[in-house]
Amino acid sequence: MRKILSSYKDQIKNFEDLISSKMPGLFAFNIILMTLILMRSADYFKPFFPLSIHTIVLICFIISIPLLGVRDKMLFFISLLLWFFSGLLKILQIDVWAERTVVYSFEALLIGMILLLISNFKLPYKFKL
Amino acid sequence: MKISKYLFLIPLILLALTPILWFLGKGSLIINGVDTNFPLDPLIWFERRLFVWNNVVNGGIDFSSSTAGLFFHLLQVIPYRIGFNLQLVQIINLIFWFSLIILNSFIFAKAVFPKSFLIQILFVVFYAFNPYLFNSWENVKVANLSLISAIPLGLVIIMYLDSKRIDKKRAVFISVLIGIILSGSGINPAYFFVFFLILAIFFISNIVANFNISSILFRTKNFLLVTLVVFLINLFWILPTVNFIIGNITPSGSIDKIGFTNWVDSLSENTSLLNVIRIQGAWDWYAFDQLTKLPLYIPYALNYFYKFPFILFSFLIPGLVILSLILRKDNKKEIYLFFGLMFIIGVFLGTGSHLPTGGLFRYFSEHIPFFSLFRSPWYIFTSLVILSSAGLICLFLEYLRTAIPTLKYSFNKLILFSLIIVLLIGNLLYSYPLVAGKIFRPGRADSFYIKFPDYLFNSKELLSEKFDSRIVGYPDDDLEKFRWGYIGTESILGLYTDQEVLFPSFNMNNFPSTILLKEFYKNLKRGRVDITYNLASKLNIGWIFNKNDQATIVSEFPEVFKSLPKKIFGQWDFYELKKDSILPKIFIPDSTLLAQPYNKAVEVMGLLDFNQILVNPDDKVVQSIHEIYKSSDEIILADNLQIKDFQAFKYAKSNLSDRLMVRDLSKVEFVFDIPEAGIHQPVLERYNLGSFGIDDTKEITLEIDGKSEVWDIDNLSDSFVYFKPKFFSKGKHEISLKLKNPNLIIDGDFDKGMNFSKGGYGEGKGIYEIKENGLEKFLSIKNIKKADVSADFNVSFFNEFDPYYIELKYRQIYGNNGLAMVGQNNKDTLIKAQVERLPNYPDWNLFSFYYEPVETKSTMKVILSAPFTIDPLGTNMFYDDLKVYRVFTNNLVLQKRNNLGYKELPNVTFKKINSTQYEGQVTNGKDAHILVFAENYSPDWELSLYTEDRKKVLTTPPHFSANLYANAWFIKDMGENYTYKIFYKPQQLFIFGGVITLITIIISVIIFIYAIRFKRSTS
Repeated sequence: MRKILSSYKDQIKNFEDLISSKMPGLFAFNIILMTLILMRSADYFKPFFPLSIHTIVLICFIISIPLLGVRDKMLFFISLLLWFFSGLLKILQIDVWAERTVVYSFEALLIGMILLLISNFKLPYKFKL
Repeated sequence: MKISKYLFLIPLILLALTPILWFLGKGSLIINGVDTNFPLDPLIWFERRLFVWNNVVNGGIDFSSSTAGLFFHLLQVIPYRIGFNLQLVQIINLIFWFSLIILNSFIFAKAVFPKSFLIQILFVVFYAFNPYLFNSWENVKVANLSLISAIPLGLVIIMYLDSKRIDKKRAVFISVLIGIILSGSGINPAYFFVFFLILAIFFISNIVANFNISSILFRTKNFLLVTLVVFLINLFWILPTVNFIIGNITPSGSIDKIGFTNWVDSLSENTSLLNVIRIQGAWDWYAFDQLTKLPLYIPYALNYFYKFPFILFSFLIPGLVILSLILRKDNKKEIYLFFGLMFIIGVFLGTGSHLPTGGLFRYFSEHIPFFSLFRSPWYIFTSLVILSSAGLICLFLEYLRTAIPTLKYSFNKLILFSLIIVLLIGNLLYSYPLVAGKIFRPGRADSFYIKFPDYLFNSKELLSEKFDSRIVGYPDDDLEKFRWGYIGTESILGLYTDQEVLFPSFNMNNFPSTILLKEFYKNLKRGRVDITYNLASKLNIGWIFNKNDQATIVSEFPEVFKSLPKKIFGQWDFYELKKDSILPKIFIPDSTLLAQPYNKAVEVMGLLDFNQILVNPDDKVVQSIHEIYKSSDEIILADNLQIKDFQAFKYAKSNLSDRLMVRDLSKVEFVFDIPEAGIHQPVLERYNLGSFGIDDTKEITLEIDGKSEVWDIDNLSDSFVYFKPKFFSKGKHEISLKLKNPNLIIDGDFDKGMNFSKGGYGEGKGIYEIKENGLEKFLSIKNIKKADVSADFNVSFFNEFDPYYIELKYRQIYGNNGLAMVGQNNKDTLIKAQVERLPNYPDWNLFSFYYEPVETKSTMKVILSAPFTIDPLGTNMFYDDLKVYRVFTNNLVLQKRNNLGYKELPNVTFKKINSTQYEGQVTNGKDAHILVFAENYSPDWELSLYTEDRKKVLTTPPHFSANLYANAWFIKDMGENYTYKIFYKPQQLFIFGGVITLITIIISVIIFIYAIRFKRSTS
């Protein structure tokens, strides 16, 4: 347990460095996210392509890989957070929200798994958390 | 030998003996019912699985995939033949399969987590005890249990081969064992496919994690070796099953097209990602009684839905699964990849057509050939989820055990130990229905613990005789629900006899024989003797099995048939129909009949002569046989416009337009099309004609194409009135027959005051007044805050077999919308209610609708209501002219006799060799004739003919369907006497596959023995 804590403390220490190095990506990520939300609120692409919140979340997970350097473990971590959050919602008997949150959790898990699979082929990219 | 070396077996043995707990305190009960199907005579069931055609159910069905249950039922036969009682046979069987799952999962756990016994046990507990297996054990599903037992062993063999811990000779032998264990999954081939899917995921994960050419080649060889042996072992059922799938199932939307129910959408209703990940996707957990809000089938489901510890644990397990992917060891990449991929794929596929991932699943169903065979996705694919969940949780604990060096301190070790124990005990508690046998619903009306009555076993005495006809069950409920507890989806006779039985079936709902059977029941219940006998003869029914102990609302067995000779066994009566009125299974008809329209031909089947058969005029084979097509009698079914309108109403989506119209039921119109001018005999169904004012002994007056005509009666039967033949010109004709169809409501116009009973309860007031508007009187109902204030009218002369037409006038003055309801009650309970909400309309308005009763002894009421409203002024409704009429459902047909039947009928004899083969002889068969085989039609039934001197005739006689469901061959130029053989061809595939299976087993055993001896000699 100590090892886990210490390793994560180290990672938190590196967080500041990470943020400064990923500033342009973060900027682009936020812009894309806001644009998607705005387009959804204005019913863009309807009825040809429904820009649902599911789609936006999925796009965010995907673009976070090149823009924020997110790796599989980070996605699994997000998935875990969302999973336990949906558990909380379920305990509070807010079933609809719980089901929706699990969909996001599954999306994160799926993309994380794809990343894990790809990482075995030693592709030339290298992103660090 | 140290005993302590084997102490590890104790927890495994204890877990494997779980089934004993299910029987503690249960006396001599056995677990049976619904889908469980534990045979009361295992030998019969075993023998049945040696043939790919099952002749026992509803005129026969292809049984190819069920032959896969051979090993499963062999395990029941062995203790049964030794002499154990049925309960012991069942316990031995259950323990065998439970032990196999425990043992094989332990072997797998030992291979993946070799260093920690506790983690190995934890894996076993998570794999063998989970909500997915509740359903598998509840119904002792052969396919599930075989799959779950075989998966870990299959993976271990590949793993050991990859790591060279086992040589190929031994691997082949163990693969044979895996193949045998897995064979039961072939009952639903989708499960068999899952085994290969899991092995393929494992194979791909290994390739990806160790990506180099030599590794790929090496692993591919190992993978192919194991899968090939498993495949060869299962070839005995694969060959006939593939033949059946290719021959009968279209690649897309297949299930519905062969008459089976496609329930993928209904089964996916509750398989949200949330439920699938938590392994709570079984449909029956979510079936609730709308009134009491209690579970209909699964009482313990409430704990999982609402109790905090259960919800917490259900989230904890997947939480640990995801956590294991974060905190992972990089030296076990392939195993993480394997479990991770399997988890994702299992969840996605298990969700089925439930959105949002269901869209993709549906796309696969529509575009991937045969994908629609996965019609119960959660049940098929959740095995991937339970294996990956168990694996990933144990990997997480393994990570904790090895990754943290401080674990050498006893305190930390204690924490890890406690965590494992908590998870272990927590999972056993979480799976308490499986551990304690609650999955069998003890103490409930639908419990699976059954004590079969003695008279069931006594009836074996009769049923072990060789019958030459079929038995039909009565009452005709889809589910056989006996008052002593047993519930079956198929006839109970199938559990312990080999007699051919006909019964209503969920699964074979659209089979022609089942449709014909429905017609038989319809006429039997109405007491129409002639038609019932006629249909019985076409279906080869010789016995009616009346179950007085069945909980049912179906009408009592009709009096008119109670005088038949019967054999009584406790609550069961076996009525024997007159032998000379039943056609044998193989016979030669004296004439043929073409019915138009053919899709309604079932309605005219009762009109056929005793030895006449119905053939399909649209069948190309029939059209090509001049002797049949040109010489057949013809029958034309006229469209009864009253029935047509009623059916249009019944099957239309609810809409107002067909309710805001008036129908005239004082006459019935028949429309028909005569293809060729000629003499036709009109025949009218006789049923209940008197209640429409038609005297069925005298001539009737009617209008044909607007001209009045009198039809004289030629003759009468119990079920039909035959009129004298008439000339009809070619083209469309319309017949109009006046009926005396009385209004079955007394004083529905309120001219004579109030002649109804008043409904309503609770506080408030219901004010009833007869008001006048000139000469017109009508009813005013005012409801001030009272519930269900209504005027209730009894329907006179109610007959549960007829549909009814209801018409009324109403005017909504103020308040809530008016309601017109029809209620059907028996002396105990409400059977059916139909509620029609009357649209807002401030002026007088006409409203009409149909009501189709449930066919049971009961009374019918029409209720006109002024419903409750919270508005203090209440509701005020006016009603007038309530009318209820019976719908005239009798059919009119026009038959044209060509009288070209076969003059001299050949004699035919036959002998049943087994369910796939019949042999017989025809004598005096020099004229062309038809040979009918009254078993469900399949192009795979083959007729081989042999001349008198035993030479096989090389030409194949044309094969077509007769009497909607049976097989018929047209035979000519065969000489006076000949012999024949009717054979179900896929049986050859079963035999061929079986030979390969046996050869594979023998070779593998030889190789294995050789390997052992070689090793001994070299050592």
